[in-house]
Amino acid sequence: MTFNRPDVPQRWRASTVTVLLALLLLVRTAPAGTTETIFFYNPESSVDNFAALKTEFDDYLSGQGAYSFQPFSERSTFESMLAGNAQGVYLLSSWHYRQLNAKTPLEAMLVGVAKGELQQRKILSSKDLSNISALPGSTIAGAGSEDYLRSQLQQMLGAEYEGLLPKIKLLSVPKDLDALMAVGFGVATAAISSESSLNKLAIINPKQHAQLKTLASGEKSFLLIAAIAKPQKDKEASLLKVIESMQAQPAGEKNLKMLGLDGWKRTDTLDASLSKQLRLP
Amino acid sequence: METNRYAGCLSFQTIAPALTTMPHNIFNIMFNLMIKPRILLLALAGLCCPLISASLAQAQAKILIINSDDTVNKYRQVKDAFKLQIMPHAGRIIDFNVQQTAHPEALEKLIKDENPDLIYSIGSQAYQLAAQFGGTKPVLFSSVINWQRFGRPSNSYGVANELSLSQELSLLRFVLPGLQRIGVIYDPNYSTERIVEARNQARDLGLSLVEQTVGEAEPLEKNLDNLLARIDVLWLIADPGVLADRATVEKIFVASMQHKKPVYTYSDAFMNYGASLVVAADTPTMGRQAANLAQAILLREPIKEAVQTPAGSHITLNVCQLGKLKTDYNSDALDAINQLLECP
Repeated sequence: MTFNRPDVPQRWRASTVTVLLALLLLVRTAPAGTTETIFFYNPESSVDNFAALKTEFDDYLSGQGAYSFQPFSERSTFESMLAGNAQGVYLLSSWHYRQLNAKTPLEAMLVGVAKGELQQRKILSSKDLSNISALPGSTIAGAGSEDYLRSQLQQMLGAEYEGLLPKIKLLSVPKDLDALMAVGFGVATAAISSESSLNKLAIINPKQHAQLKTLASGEKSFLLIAAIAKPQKDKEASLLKVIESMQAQPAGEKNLKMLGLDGWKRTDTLDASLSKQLRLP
Repeated sequence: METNRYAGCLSFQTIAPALTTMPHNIFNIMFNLMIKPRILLLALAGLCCPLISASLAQAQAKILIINSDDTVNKYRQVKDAFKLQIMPHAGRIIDFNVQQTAHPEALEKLIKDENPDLIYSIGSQAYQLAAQFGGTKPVLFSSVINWQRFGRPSNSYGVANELSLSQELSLLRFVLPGLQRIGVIYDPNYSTERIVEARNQARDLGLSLVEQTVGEAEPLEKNLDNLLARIDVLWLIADPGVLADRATVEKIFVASMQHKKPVYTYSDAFMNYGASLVVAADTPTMGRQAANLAQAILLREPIKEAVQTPAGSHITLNVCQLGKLKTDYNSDALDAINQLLECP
């Protein structure tokens, strides 16, 4: 806070700052003790819809109790919040969950469901290229952070073609459909997208979809995960219950759709093979 | 395919000081090379291996960014995204804000003094100045509305401001899938080519384009009601012959509301009038595309399209307006929506 008013005496400036700071502390501490927060960060999408998410979720959650929603656009800020052991539930991508678990222990409590599926697979598609070896010099479009896209590509290329990575340019676009359409009109040579997005393209633009060939595909991974920081605290149980039951109410269902989900499934009801995947390092 | 002929200037210009001293004094050259390892490295790389030379050139590249107005949010966003993507691959970046200088001629001096390897211009004013003072240097542009009106010299590259028709119509079909008959009003003096292309794209998507021309012989008032009665959604395109003034725009929106037809258009500016869906180019993606293009120019890679179509889209959905019009939207598209407007 800075004061540049020469007409305000120095001692008044100091006391005003003290009062303002005290007020700020009061304002901050009052709800912090009672409000639980859903922290959200998703490196698998670049749709800048944080204001809409914040408004819609806060509106919905306020009707359920003293809860709030906090979306993050920066990975580092989200991770700092987690490292500071902030109280609440963390909504994050399964890719990020696996990375984070190595340094900040998390417990996945719910996994997202979309069209009856808990998992998705990423596909590398192209119009003009017939195989991976032709990728050098190309631009690959995909939704999400560059870190995420690079790691997906690395997984798809495997050890045999890993050397091609530095010869490929990545173009981060807001959503899968943008990436797929960018291949259609020649801005990108190939696109990384989920299988479900390819299916959406088949419905809205069948001609463009028919032109695409699959070059490679990645391993299946979970959709969004709702996790809490270990050691488990009972305090988050009520907020988890609110999240889990969102699909039962129209407003909650709409908010889930904004995250690309139809509902949630509790991790303690998953098959053993799927539960094992969540525990992998 | 267009081959980039300009990035080669970089290595030459950087090595040039060492080469020009050669006839005068061999000791000067040795001295220059000893105290300027960058020149030595580039000279050796340039002589030995063109590939190494190109990547070194890129790493040392000096880029001048000319921004039409840094206080405009969209321009600032595109610049930030460009910088973030190009930083690891560039040497130095110089900023020039047109609005902050009373004398645009200062740009001419800056270009002479700094001798940048590439000029990136943001906005129409910046692009015109870059073309005026940039000489033969490669000029990259973005955020230029209807760039075609300025022409494109062979040293000019860019990212257009308008989405492809295929993307515009595909996203309309994605978000509002129940609407098959798309009405469009256009002035043949401005939009004939665009409409011909839209006709083909609509056919590919299984949509039907219902066209209405305007002109001196066909005033808008005469045909607007007739058009609105035959369509499911009105697609308002950037046609200066149609969107001549505020009164005309208001007339179109009022009539659409009376006929309970949603309006699909290209700019959030129409949200205040009651547009139901807006799909525009995503600004940060344009900056990233420009950075990839800059990288290709500096590396002397072949450039497939000198002016690229924007790859990212930004969608605003007016749920409130759609509710008033009793029009359904695709709830599975909600994760692709940037802004959601609810009723107050």
